[in-house]
Amino acid sequence: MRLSGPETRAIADRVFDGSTLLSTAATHTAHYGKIIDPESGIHLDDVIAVTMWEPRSYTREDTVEFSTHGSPFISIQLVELLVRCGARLAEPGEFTLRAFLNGRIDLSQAEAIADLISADTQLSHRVAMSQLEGRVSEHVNSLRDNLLQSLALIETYTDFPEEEIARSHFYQIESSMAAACEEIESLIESFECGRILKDGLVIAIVGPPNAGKSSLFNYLLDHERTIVASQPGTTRDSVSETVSIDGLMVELIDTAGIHDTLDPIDRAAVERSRSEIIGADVLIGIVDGLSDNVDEQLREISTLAPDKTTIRVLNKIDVMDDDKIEAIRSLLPDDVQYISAVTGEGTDALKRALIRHAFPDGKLSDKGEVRISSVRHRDALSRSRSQLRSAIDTLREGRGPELVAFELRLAADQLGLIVGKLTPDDILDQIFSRFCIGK
Amino acid sequence: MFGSFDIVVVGGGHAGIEAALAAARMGCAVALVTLREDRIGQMSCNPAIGGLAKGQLVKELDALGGEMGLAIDRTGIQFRMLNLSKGPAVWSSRAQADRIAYRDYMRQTIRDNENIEVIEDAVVSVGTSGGSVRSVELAGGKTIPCRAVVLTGGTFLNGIIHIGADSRAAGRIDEEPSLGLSDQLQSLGFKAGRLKTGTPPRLDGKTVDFNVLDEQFGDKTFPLFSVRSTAPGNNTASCWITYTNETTHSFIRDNIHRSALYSGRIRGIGPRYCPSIEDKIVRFSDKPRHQLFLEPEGNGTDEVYPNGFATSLPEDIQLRAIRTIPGLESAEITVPGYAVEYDFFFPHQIRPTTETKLIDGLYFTGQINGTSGYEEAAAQGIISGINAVLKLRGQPEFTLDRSEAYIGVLLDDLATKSTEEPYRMFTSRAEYRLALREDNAAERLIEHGFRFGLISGYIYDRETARVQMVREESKRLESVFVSVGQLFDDRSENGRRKISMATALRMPSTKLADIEKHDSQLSALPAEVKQGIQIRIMYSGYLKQQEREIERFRKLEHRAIPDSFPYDDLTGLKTEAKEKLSRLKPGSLGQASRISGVSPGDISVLMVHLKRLAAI
Repeated sequence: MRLSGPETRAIADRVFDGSTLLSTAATHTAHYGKIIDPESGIHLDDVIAVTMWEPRSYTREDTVEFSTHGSPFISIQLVELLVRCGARLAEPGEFTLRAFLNGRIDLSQAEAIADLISADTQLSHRVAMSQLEGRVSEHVNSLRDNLLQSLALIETYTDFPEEEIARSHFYQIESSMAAACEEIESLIESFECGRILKDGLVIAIVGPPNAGKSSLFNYLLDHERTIVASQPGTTRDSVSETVSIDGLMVELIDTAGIHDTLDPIDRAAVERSRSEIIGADVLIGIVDGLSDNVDEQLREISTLAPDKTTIRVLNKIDVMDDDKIEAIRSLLPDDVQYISAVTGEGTDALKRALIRHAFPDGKLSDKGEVRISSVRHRDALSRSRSQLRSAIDTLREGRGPELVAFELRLAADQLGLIVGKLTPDDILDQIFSRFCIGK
Repeated sequence: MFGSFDIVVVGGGHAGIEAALAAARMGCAVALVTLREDRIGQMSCNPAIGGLAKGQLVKELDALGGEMGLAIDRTGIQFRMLNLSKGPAVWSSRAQADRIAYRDYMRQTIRDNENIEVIEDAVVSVGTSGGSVRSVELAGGKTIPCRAVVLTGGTFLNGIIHIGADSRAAGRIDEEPSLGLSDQLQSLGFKAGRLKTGTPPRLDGKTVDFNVLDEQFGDKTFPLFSVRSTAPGNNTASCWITYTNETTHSFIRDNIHRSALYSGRIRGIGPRYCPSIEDKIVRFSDKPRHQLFLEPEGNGTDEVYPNGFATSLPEDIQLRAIRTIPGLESAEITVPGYAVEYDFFFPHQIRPTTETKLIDGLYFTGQINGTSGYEEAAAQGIISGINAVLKLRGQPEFTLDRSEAYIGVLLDDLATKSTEEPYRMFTSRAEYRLALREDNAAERLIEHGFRFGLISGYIYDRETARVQMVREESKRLESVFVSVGQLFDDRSENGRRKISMATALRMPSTKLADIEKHDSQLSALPAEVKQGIQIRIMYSGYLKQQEREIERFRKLEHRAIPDSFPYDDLTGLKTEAKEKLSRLKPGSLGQASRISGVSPGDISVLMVHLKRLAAI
C-alpha cells in the first residue's frame, strides 16, 4: 500500500500508532505499529510502515508504504480508511506519472515502467527491465549517432564547397546509411517478439465440429495458471481466457464456443470465425483422429489463414490404438502434433511448438537481445526506416546532397523522438571536430 | 549642439549602415556616431560578400530594402555562384569586392541621406531612466538625447590586437578601440564575454609569382545580389590558389610558442570554422597541406589577401612562413596579420527584434551579439533599424521565424540559444533550408520591404508579377502532357506513355532546356522565370513534406510562455533545464525546445504546467 504526495505525513500520522510518530521519523526507516481507525478506535491490523521522504522516493514526494499481513479484505479496509483520512485512490499509472512530472524518470523510462506494472509474466518482465535499464535508448542513440555522422559528412560537402575534404569520407556514406537501415529493420522486427512478450500471444483454436477444440481449451485452462484480468471493467468473453504457458502470456480463443452452436457442417460457420482468426498470432488447427480423411481436413485448416502459422494437431490419441496412430503418422507431415485433450498426452510437445512458432529464432531466453515493445517506438522506427530508404534512393539517383540531407535529417529526427532530440549544433560539432574547415 | 534625433546608431560598420539607412528611409532623424567617418563600410577582414548561407542572407536583406546587395553589385570585381553542382537550395552567390570602392560607395550613400547626421566621436555611455534609453554620452563630453539607441561594436569594444608578443589596444590594425562603453553597459547589468578573431597578412601583389598558381575566374553568367541593381556587375578579376606544405608546417610548429594564440596571451574564444593557420597545423597535423586563396583587394591596387592564413605570429615569422609557399617565395607583407580580442554581449539578452530585454529602446546588433561576418551583421542591422522605428511609432514589432528566412534562423539562434563562440551562418543551421533559397528571397520577404517603404512600388510590382508567373506556369505544366517518346526520343512501347511536363522535370536527369521545345509558352518565358519554375517543380514534393514540418513547428512556436513564468517553482524540470530556461526566458514552447540541455521530457513537463496555468 503506497501513500504519496504532500499530505502523506499528516495522513499517515492519523492512522498509524507506533512507538515513533511517522512524520518525524528519518527517511528510509521501517516502523512496526498498529493501524487504528481514528473515528471508531478499531484496531485494523499490525503493519510495517516504511518512510521515504522527498526527494528520495519513487515519485520524489513524501511516501509511506504499508505492508499489511492481512487478507485482501484488510487491504481494502485500509485503503478505505486512508481515503476517509484525506487520501484519494491513485489513477492507473499515477505514481509513474508523478515520477515523470517530478523529473525522476524520462519519457522512455516512464513507458517502460508502465509496461512493467502491467507485466503479468516473467518473460514480459524481462523486456520491460531491459528498456528500463536504457538498453533501447542506448541502441537507438548509437543508431542516431551513425545517421548524424553521415549527415555531418553531407553537410560538410554542402556548406564548405571550397574546402579540400578527402573524397574517401564520402565513399562510406551510402554503405553506412544502408547498414543503419538494416539495424533499424531488425529493431522493428524485434517489436513483434516484444509485443508478444508484453501483450501476450493470441492463439485461436480452430477445427471441425467435435474435433476437441473445447476439450483442449479446457485442458490448457485447467493445467496452466489462469491470469485474472488485472483491470476492472475488462470483462472477458467466456470463449477466451488468458493463461501463462511456460512464462509466456497467452490468450486462448476457443472458436468452438462461438460457432459450434451454429450449423456445424456449414463452411460459413468457419467463415464467421474469421475475426478471431484475423486477430490471432497463431492458430491451433485440431482434427479428430478417429474421423475420415484427416489429411484432407488438416490441409483445409491450413488454408484458413495462409499468412499465419497454423499448428496442426491430431486429437484423441487416447482412444486410438498404436497401429492406427502409426498408420496415420506415415500419411501426415512431420510437424503434426499428436495429443489427447483428455489425458494431456502430447500437450507438452504442443506447448513447445507454440513457443517455437512465437519466437522462430529461438531467442526467447536470450538476455542479450535488445527488443522494443512500445508501439510508439515501433512507429518512430518505421518512419525513420522509410525516410532513410528515401535518403538512400535520393543519393543513388544522384539528386542534390541537400535533398539527401533533408531525408536523413527527418530519419534522425524520428530516432530523436525516442531518445532525445536533434539540434543542428550536433551536426556542426561533428563537422568542426572532424575536418579542418575555414579559410 | 546637434539637431534633435529620434535614433542614435553607434558604429558605422555593416550593421550600423543598414540600421541607420533603414531608420532614416522610414523617416526618422538618425545620428550615426562613428570613430572615423572615412572608415564607414570598411571591410575589416576579407574583401568579399556572400558565400554559403551568406549569399542567402544578403538576398533576404535586399528584399527587405537593405543596401549591401546594391553595394556589392556596384563594386564587385568577381562574381561566382557556389555549389552549382548541387541543388538550388544550397546555391550561394559570392563576390570579391573592391575594398576601397565598396567603402566609398557606403560612405557616399550615408552622406547622401538627409535624415542621417554623421558624428565623429566615441560613445562612452548610454543614458537611461526608468528602464528606458534617454541619450548617449560622447567622449567629448556632449550628450545626445534620443528615443532609441542601436549599438554595434564590431571588434572595437575593449579591443586588443595581438601580433606575436606585441599586444596593443586597438579595434582594427591602425584604429583606436572603444573604451568605457562596454564597462558602462556591464554596470547596467549586461553580461559580457570575450571573443577572438584573426586576419591574415596582406601581400604586395607585385611580389607574387602568379604564373605558378592556379587561376580561378568569375562565372560567365551570374545573377546579381540586388533586385534593384540596374547595371551588370564588373566581373574581371581572378583569384589564385596555392597551398602550404610540410616546410611551412614545420617552420610554424617550430615557432608556435611565439604565436599570441599559443603563448596564453589570448583568452577570447575564436571561431572554429575560421581557424588561424597555427590552429590548422596543430589541430589537423595529419593534413599535408592547406589551401590558400589569393584574393585581389581591388582593381586599383596590387594588394592581395591570402585567405586561409589568419595568424597572430610575429611579423618576421609571418613573412618567413609565407615565403615557404609556392608563388610567394619573394612576397612582401604590406600589413601584418593579427588576432583581435573584443567584448561581446551574450545574445540571449536580446529579443528577436534585437532590442535588449533589460533596457527599453536599446538595440544590440552585429558583432556585439557574438556573430561574425559582414552579412550576419548587416542582416541584424536592418532588423534593428526597422524595429526601432516601429517602436517609436507604436506599431507592432517585426520578426521573422525560422521557416521564413535565414535572418529568422539567425535571430532565433542568438536570442534563444545564445552563443559562446563567434556565430556564423551555415545552410545546415536552417531546418527548412529547401524553402529558404536565394532565388525566392524576394518571394518570401519583399512584401515586408514594400510595407516599410524600403522597396519601391515599381520593384515590388515587378517582383510580385515574376513570382506570380512562376507559380502559374508551374501549375500549368502539371497538366500539359507529352509522350515520353517525344520528350526523350524513345521509340519503344514505353514511348507512347504520356507524362506531364512537370513529372518530366522532376526526373533527376531532366533539365528545363530539354523539354521547353515542346511547349512554346514555356520557351518564350524570361530566363529567371524559367529557372524559378524548374526549382519550384523539382522541389515540390519535398516542399510539401517540409510544409508539414513547418506546421508542426509553428504550433509549438505559438504556444507562448509568459516572461514571468516561474521555472524555479516547477517540479519536474531537470536542474540544467531549469537553469537555462530561467536565464534564457524563451518566449514560446518552440523556442524552449531548441535550447540545448532542455529535453523533450522537460518540454512535456512545461506543457503540462502551461496547461495547468491556463486552467487556473
